Amino acid sequence: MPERERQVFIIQINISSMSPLAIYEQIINQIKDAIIKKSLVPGEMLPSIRTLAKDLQISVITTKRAYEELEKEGLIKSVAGKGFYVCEQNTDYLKEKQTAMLENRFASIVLDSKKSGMSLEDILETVTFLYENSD
Amino acid sequence: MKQSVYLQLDKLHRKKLISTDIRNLGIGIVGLVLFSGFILNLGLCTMDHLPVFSFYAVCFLVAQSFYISPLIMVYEEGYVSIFKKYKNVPINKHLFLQSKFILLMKFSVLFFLPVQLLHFAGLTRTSTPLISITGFWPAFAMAGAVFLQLIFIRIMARELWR
Amino acid sequence: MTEKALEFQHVSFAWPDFSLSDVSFSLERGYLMGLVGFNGSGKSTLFHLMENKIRNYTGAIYIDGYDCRLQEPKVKDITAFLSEEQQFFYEETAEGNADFLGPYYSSWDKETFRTCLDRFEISRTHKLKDYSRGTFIKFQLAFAMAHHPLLYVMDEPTAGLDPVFRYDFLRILQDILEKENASVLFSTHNTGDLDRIADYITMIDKGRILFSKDVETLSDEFQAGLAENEKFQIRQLFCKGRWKSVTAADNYSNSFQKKGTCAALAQEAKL
Repeated sequence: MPERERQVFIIQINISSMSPLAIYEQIINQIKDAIIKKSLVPGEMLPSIRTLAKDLQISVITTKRAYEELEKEGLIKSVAGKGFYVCEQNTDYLKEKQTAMLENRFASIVLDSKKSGMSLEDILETVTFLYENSD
Repeated sequence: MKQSVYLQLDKLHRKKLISTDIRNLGIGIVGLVLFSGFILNLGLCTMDHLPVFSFYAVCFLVAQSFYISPLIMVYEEGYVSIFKKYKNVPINKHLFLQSKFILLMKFSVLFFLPVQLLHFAGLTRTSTPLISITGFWPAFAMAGAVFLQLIFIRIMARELWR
Repeated sequence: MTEKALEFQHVSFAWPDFSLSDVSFSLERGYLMGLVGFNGSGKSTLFHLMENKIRNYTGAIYIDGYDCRLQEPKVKDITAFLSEEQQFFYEETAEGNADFLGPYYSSWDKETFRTCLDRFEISRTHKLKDYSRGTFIKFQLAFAMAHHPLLYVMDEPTAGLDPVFRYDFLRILQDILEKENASVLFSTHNTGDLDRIADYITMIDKGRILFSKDVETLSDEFQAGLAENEKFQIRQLFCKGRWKSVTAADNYSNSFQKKGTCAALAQEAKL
């Protein structure tokens, strides 16, 4: 099945007709990720509702909904007559999100390590070594 | 849009729609026929004979048809009312029709005047006075022809209100 | 407050073999509405009503606030009707037609017409009678764009268009929606078109409006009530536009192939 991929400004949004998530949810998630990963910075202007709809070949109602949800969550704000801009992010919120993401990754690494027989001390040793030797 | 604009457009369309040359040729031929009729009647002193009236009426009808029909009908595998094409166009239906009537009247008057003059000339060779019903046969014939044309146009234009 | 681009208010009439019952729906400026329904459900009737070809009905139809029945010339100035049965001068070329019909519109712009003809690759030398169905629709669109209407009403515009131009056609519509703040209403059997561009979908069946909603609301409603396999298939079909992939549940696949989403939507609407 064809996945629709479009380059939108400097971030890439892929919407998939295969995903169980509704299209507007996929857009929201990808914009959130971009904000967390700093590929979208505060003050940056997002593509207009119509441009995004045109590029992704979906309805403006869908893009509007995605933007409105993001605005409700305080991640973006609309400026009358101009468009949508990324908000100055609450650093706590971002940190929280990032930590949550990292925690997930930790969880899977810890799980794998346990499965391959490493003990807690082994894991901590490896982590300390890597931490001290990376920049 | 004013009536004058409708008139302008109709004049333009009449020239573009179907070969004006053939139409004008047709009108010219009718003119020639009328003129020949005049010569004949002049020679035979028969300007006041009844068939002359019918002759005028028919000639006028033919000439008018050559003139106005491009604005009333188009040929598309048979003749079709032009008004069908304007059903979804934002025209003022009355002005649209009226401009065709106006053009028809203008042409008819211009066309009938020389005929009227020749008719008078021909009548002088007969015993009928000029100021009489017979004297104004071209006028009556033209009026009758115009009336018939107007009815015909009205019938074709019913498409606009269907 | 701006007027709605299109509004049907309780339109009804009864003929011996067909009737419309209390048809009401509306469309705002700048949006596109897809009209779906089986053949004979009343889609073309709605178009004829807007064109004022049918006048005996109760209720009212407004385009930008103007009554279709009482203010016909004004309505026709701001609306473009596109369909296979539109009347033009078939023995004339595209430009010839533009010259005869264009000047009566208040915002007629011949340059736009010429630009569109070239952009759509329509022959300037051929007579209209020689055009294929697809080229004829393209010509109608070029003509429409040249008089800048605020509402485009189209009866199955993409039927008969090759896939390449169909894609282009939809993009052109999106441009028009954006740049001119125009609205579009089109009837279609092609769910792919709807997925790509429709903001609202109205479904009509046997002269009755089943629903008229925006695509997100419809999507949510489908997502909400699903449990069984069949309903899941319908959701996939409608929301994700993958109708060709529906092959399971034979009783449904047959109806999809014959009637498209409409059967499924009709079923859902009655639930």
